[in-house]
Amino acid sequence: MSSPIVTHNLSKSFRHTEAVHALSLAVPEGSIYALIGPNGAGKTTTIKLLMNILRASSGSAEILGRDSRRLSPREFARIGYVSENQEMPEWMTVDYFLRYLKPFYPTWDDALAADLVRQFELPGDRKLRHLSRGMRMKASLASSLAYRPELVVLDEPFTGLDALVRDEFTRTLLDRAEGTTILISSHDLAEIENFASHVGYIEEGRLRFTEEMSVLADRFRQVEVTFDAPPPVPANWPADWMKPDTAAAVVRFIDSRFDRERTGAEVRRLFPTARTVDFHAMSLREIFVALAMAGRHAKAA
Amino acid sequence: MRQAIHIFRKDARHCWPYIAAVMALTAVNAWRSVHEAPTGTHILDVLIPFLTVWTWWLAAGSAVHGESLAGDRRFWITRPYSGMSLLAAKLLFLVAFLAVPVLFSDCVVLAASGFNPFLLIPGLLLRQCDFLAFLALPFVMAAFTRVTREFLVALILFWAACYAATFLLGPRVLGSLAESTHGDAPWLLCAAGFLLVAWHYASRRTGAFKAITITLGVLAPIVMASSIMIAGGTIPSPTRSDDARYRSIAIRFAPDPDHPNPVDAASRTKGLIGIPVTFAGWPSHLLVGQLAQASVLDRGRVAWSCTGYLDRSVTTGPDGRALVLFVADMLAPAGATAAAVDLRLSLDLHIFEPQEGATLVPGDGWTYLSGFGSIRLSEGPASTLLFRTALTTPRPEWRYSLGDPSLYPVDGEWSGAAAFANSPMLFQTSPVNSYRGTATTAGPVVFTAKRQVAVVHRELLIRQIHLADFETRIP
Repeated sequence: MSSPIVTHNLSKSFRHTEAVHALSLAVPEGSIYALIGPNGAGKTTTIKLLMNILRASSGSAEILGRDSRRLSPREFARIGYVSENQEMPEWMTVDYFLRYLKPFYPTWDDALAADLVRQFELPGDRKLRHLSRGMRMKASLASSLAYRPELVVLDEPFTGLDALVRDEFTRTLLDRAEGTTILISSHDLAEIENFASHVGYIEEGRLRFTEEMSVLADRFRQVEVTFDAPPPVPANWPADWMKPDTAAAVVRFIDSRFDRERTGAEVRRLFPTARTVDFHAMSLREIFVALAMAGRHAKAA
Repeated sequence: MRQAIHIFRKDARHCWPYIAAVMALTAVNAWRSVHEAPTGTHILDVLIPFLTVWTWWLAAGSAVHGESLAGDRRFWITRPYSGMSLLAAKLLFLVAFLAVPVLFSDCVVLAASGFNPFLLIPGLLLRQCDFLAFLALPFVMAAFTRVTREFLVALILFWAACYAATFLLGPRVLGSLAESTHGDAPWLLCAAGFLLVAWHYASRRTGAFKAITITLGVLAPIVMASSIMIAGGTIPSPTRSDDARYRSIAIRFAPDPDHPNPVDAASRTKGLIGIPVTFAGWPSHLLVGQLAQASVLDRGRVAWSCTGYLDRSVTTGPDGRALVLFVADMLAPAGATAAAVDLRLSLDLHIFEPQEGATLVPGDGWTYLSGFGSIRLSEGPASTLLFRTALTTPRPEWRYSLGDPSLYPVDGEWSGAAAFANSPMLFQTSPVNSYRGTATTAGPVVFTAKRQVAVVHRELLIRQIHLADFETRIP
């Protein structure tokens, strides 16, 4: 499977601050790739590097097989880009905005554009400056899907949107961009969890991991060990066990390399007095929080 | 090209208030140029050009800001825009909505002022180039800024920097700078500005563009200030020539042996000296102008000197008689006019030939005189001579006479609008310069244009003359 987005040691520094450091990733074709990470992790900078909005300090990226620094109108005609902080031509009405963009895209589909306007209930005669934030995001998405792009890049699209708009936005994206590769950065992990096929976790400009969602979900487990009496905490705590929490006769932690047999055997070795051992599946949000906390603790140490 | 036109149409739709304002102000300017003779003293003479210039700049800035080059959040930077199409669209906007209306207005004003625009096509095209150079500054500033507010601040700061450079560096430094670059530097800077923006459109490298623009922006006010200073300078005087046709002209001291001083003693003006001279080898159709210098010598060296002139009331007819006048008592030592002194008269003879003429009737339309300009007499009991030049200032070698064309030429004491500027920072909103000449009495008058064909220098040494003997009265 080819990758519409590939980066090699992509780095970006702003004076003395390194926003992205040696980032290497590949977004598989047809995947919905979620780029997650805490605020200031470098998600937006990464996306701007991919879209040639910013120039990389070092490293490179290929978008649809072309060096991102040399993206031409031909490539941009195959890419849909929606960003939470994009400045729109405020004076245009929704209808005129779509009519204006149409000649730029050889694959523009009038029927699809009309469908999107209808589905999003966009007021065609209203100027973009008079639209609510949710409506503007919908207009932006409609204008980015109407030409059936091969790659859709969404930078924090859910920020500031209410639940209903998020739901509409996501549903339309999935309905209308079937088979399209989607790269999405977002804080809304609960939303993303429902449809992302791949996830990359970025922190302090470094990509901590990138993998399929299902693999990630299988890899993380919250482990709860119960005892008859408060147990002694072992000195040689495994590096993969995160967020240890001891309360009375219960020890909880998160195993970031979960394997039922191996984890079970390790628990029994370290806690020979354990009465029960339970494994709980984790949501993306719980995994994200655990990773972020572990990162902070490591930094503090 | 299709994409360029598509973007251009969008800009036309977006910028229509500016376009409407440009059209309205261009029309007002044209109307005033045709029907009024701006003198620079009425508030509208200043206000309307000021508003017109700023509307041009705002329209240009608004079009560029439609796809702002600065900032990383603009919708268009991730859309399939071609840099060259975008640049072409913006240039098309400048040409269609700013340059073409100016060209059209120029043609109307010229035609209404008695000029034939078709004969002035090279000048009109050159003026269009000047106009585009004049738009280079807002074009670069708009590419450098994101919104109108920033754009205006940048323009005002740039102008302030230009004037600061004018005051800080002074005419000597700026003059030598202009001289060393032959006055081309400001124009090259404008061309560089357009190329820089073109490169920015093609590469979209805002950081590098800003760095280069700021570097140029530090130097640009100095270069532009030099052009502004030159633009405000005086019209250069014609240089002396050594035309073979006038080598035979000679000047001779010629007092009347019977009446050395025909003015009676009571009518004389103290210190005003009139030295009678005659000219030999003087072609009868030529008319002479003016400058003279009288120097009193002491053992061959200049003891004192003063500037004088050749009396215009005395014609250089076939007898070649004239009077060199100067006021001696201002600079002369006490009693100097009574003593016998050696006097050297130095004369720059500005030689004029009568050219085309016309009979002007008050209230009639403009009459075009080839090479001179358009003239007419205003209506009224004391009609005024009105004079217009197209696309240039009046040529210093042209004068005129009213009435008898054999008379000495009237000095070009024109008063009126500012001169055309040789600076890309300044652009005159009207293609004509309007001036007011001499007031005449009512009724038709013969106007003769006169062209200076040479400046001949002659000297006359008069030994042991008593200047007091030649005191005369004010002519």
